[in-house]
Amino acid sequence: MALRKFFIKRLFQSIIVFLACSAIIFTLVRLSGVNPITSILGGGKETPEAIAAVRIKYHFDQPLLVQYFFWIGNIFKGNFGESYKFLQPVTTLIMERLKVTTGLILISLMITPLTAIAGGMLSAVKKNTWLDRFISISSLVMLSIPSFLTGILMIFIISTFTPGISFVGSFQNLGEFFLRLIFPAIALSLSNIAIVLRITRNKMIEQLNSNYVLNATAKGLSFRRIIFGHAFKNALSPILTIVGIQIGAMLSGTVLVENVFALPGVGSLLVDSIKASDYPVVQGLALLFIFVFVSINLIIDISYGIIDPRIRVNKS
Amino acid sequence: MRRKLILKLKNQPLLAPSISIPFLILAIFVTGAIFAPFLATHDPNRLDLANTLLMPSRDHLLGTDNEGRDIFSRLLFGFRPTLLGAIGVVGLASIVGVFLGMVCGYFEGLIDTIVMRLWDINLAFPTLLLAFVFVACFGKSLMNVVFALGIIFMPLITRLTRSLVLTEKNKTYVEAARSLGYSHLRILFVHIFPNCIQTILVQVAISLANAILDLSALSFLGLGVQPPTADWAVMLQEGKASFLSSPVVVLAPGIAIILVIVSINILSDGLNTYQASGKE
Amino acid sequence: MKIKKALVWWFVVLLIAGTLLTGCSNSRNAATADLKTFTVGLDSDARALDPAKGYDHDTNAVLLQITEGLFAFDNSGKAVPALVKEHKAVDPKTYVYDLKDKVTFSDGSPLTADDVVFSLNRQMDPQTASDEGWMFSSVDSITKTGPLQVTVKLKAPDALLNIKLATTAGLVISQKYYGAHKDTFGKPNGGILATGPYVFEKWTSGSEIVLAKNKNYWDKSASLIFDKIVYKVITDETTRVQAFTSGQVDFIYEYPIEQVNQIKADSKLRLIYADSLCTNYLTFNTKREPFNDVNIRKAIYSAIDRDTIIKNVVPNVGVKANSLLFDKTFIGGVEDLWKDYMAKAPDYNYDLGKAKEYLSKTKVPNGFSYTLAYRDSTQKNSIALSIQQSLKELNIDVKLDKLTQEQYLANKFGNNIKNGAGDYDVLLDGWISDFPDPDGDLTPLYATSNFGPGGSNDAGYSNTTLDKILSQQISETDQGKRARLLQEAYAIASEDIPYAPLFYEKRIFGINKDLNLEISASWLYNLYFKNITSK
Repeated sequence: MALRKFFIKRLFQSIIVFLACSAIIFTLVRLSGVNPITSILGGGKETPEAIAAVRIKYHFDQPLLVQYFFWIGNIFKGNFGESYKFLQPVTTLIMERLKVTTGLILISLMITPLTAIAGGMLSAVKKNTWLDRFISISSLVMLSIPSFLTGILMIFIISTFTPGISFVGSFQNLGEFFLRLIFPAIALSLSNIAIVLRITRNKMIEQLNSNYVLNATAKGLSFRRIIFGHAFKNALSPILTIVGIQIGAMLSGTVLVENVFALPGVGSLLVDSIKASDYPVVQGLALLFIFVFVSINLIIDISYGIIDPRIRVNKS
Repeated sequence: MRRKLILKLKNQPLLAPSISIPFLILAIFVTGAIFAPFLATHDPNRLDLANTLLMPSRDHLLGTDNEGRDIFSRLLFGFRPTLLGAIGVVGLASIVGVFLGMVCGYFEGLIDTIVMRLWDINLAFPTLLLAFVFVACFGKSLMNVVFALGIIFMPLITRLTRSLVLTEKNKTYVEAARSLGYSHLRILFVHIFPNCIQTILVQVAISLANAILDLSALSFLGLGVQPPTADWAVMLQEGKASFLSSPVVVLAPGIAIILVIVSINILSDGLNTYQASGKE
Repeated sequence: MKIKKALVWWFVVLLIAGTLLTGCSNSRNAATADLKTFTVGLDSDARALDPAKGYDHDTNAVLLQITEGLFAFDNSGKAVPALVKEHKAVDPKTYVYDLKDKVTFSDGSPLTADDVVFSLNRQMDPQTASDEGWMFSSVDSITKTGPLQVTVKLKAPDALLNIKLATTAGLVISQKYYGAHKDTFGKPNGGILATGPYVFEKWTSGSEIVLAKNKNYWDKSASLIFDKIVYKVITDETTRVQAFTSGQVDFIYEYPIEQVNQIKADSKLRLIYADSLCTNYLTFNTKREPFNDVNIRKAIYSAIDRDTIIKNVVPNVGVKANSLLFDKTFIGGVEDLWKDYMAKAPDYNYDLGKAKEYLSKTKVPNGFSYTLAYRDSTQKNSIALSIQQSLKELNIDVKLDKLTQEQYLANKFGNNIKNGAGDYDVLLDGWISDFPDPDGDLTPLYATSNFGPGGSNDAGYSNTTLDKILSQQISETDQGKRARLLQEAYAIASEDIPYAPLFYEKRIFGINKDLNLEISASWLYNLYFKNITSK
């Protein structure tokens, strides 16, 4: 019962936060003072009649609050409005580009935990050896290189060694899809790998030094069982939390990586729309990002609540 | 005697290599940025189309870029906007964040709830997204980006300060101060604040590294520092196309960014350990 | 120990996977150019496959292959009939157009006057918010006067009517198709149906547009060598050029001038240097001291060595401009009327002696200081530096001010006006005429009415005689008389030089060497891929 109450409460909170964010974004956009009519009409010369028609069509003649309710109301109907620059529904623009971005994040989510947990465990088990130091230093460097720089270096290496690599794939088959996304995904993952790796290492060392591990060693359990059966199991849940939080960071990361690798994803759409003052798209994408981010946080909190009943009490 | 001195120095955590080396690197870069007008060999914005993409030589220490500008001089000047911007971001975030954190932690109650709920909303924006929206609405410029990042960085510092104040305020020295009848403000800023400052400073150092990373990301996307201003991220964006013919164009600012961030990260790691050892 | 092995193993697997994938991608290189498919690299996605949005080259790259208009520009810049068989002006305000018979849409249905009337009225309708809607400001009504006859009535005579109909404003779409796809027309899920040689097949927003050959194309004389046209959207310039040089796309709309030398003689690529309607010039703020004095303008213009600038900054693409803000590419079909005039047009050739003489007649004979503002780019930077250098001879100190895109547009379209004058001294600027006609430059830049918010007369120039001539020539349908009026206008303009023309700029297109295509100055409206031939 308590769990259900906790669940409903968290859901309710998330919805409030989401609505507040949407209002902030909407207000910021309207405060900007940029005249959207110019972008809609392509920046050319226009007759007063055309300008008047556009004002009515896009509800610019209505008060701000009414415009907000038009917008948010339509969003709940799945209608994010129409792009000023490309005269397509924002949903079409986003949907087409979403597969690239989702692909990037999924591949990155496959690479990150595997490499990071493996590296972190190796580092913890081999604590204070040359291998540990090497991994620690590399992870620190990985953490410090901006993903766009990794991207540029990768493109340099790729085009030097495999000059014929495809730039124009349309992501039609899975193989091509994977080929074009693997390098950007690696560039996107590096700093996340470093973060997860460092946490895995710390948690594992913590666990390995704890009493029950010493106890298990004393009992004569095999090293392997101690690591995987006990220490790793206990270190896993904080590690997975971090991975979850990193998905949020990845959303911003994709913007950079897509820009460097010239990929048609939502990130490059966001930058293009900002540069073109294409507000419906900027608003729609910002809302999408926030939705994903808030949902992930909700899921993490709730799964924590299920695992650890103490949290339910604390949070409420 | 001498041996003992060396041993003593070695045990002095502030002189440990994990603190002194990154500090030295940072000092070099910051000095270079401050004294850029005196150290630069050329005008960083002076074009020379007859001498584009030159290799490093005595005249051009790091060669020239695709518009014939001296890379070494641009590198010196190029740290300025990012450094100033990052200091602006962290300064703004710390001043507001520490103040709010202290007030919330000390008084709790309604103000605490309001501020914390506001920051919950702020934290619901994925990193950089608020900066993107800000730039979209108010135009591409370093000022706007600094302001947006400042707001983004506030919740972390507020929360940290708040939790520190929450633990500190129940300690005996605070009770003692209270029983002496000192004002809340005095207790907060004269008694509690000095006990929190160390932990906050480590967070500020980490934030500085993140601010530099985020600022260069935004400038790289063409939303922050605007060309032709010399800036490392702008240099990377402009040099990207000539990377194949002249790698220095990208490597120089690239390595500079990496060195600075790695140094700050090692430094904050080192300070963390130093602090931990101090507490023991 | 085993654990360590297992972990190391993971690293190795990842490494090998990475290497293998790189290896795979390499083998794709072997695919040879398939000339049945023509691949075009676009720098931005099309805005909409809709004639009402045909105002940028990415959109038009697609639109022009699918749709056809009443008129089209030939390679000399003259508007010639396309879907129109015969046309005549009944009186200066009434035009009658007879359509070609046997023209069909790509679904086989015949083109009728209804479709034309519908298409043009749709462009005119403010509700459409067409980018070219302003071109119809002189039109009163467009009506059907026969199964294949359309009559256009004007509010006032308009010498440019047929020229405007040769732009994207005059493209014809199927009324029936539009009716059936009202909400999705021109969008990726709705497409477009028209009479052109290629038909819309697929549009993946943000990455790809595919057209297929129109099997029902009415013009049987056309030889369409491609079965498919594929547009790839590659927004990053470096990547786009790489895609072109590696043979993955056959055609790009702009090849960077700095990389011209990288195309070697034995390459499979060829560059086409096409004329354009783009002129680069200095804008003097004539509402500000001392640039309100014509002698200052003349002094500065005479002190600039245009030949050297072209040689150093825009070799191969810059064509020297004289005092006229247009060149031969602007006068399609009536060159003979202009030949003598252009040869004798006043010029302010590089002449320091004369420049000093002009300067001595002003209030600041010993030199002064001003700010030259421009949108930041390598090319503009170099020109500005060169001008700065030259003017030192006159003891004029030029400060350079690099503008962002927004500042530049604010200056150019009258949104930076303070106290009745633009807030700048001199701009290094450019203008692309909307049509191959001198009026495409004259009215927007010189007419008094175009000074102010939204207008493009950023020199703040005002001359009542010129204004009068400009409104006369637009109603003059006799080409000879109109040419003389325009020449009168230019005589005033080149005496007053509020704008000091520097050079006309060609555009570099990149094409697969196995293909032939002629590209003219009106390429924004007449780059038809059906004209491509194979070698």
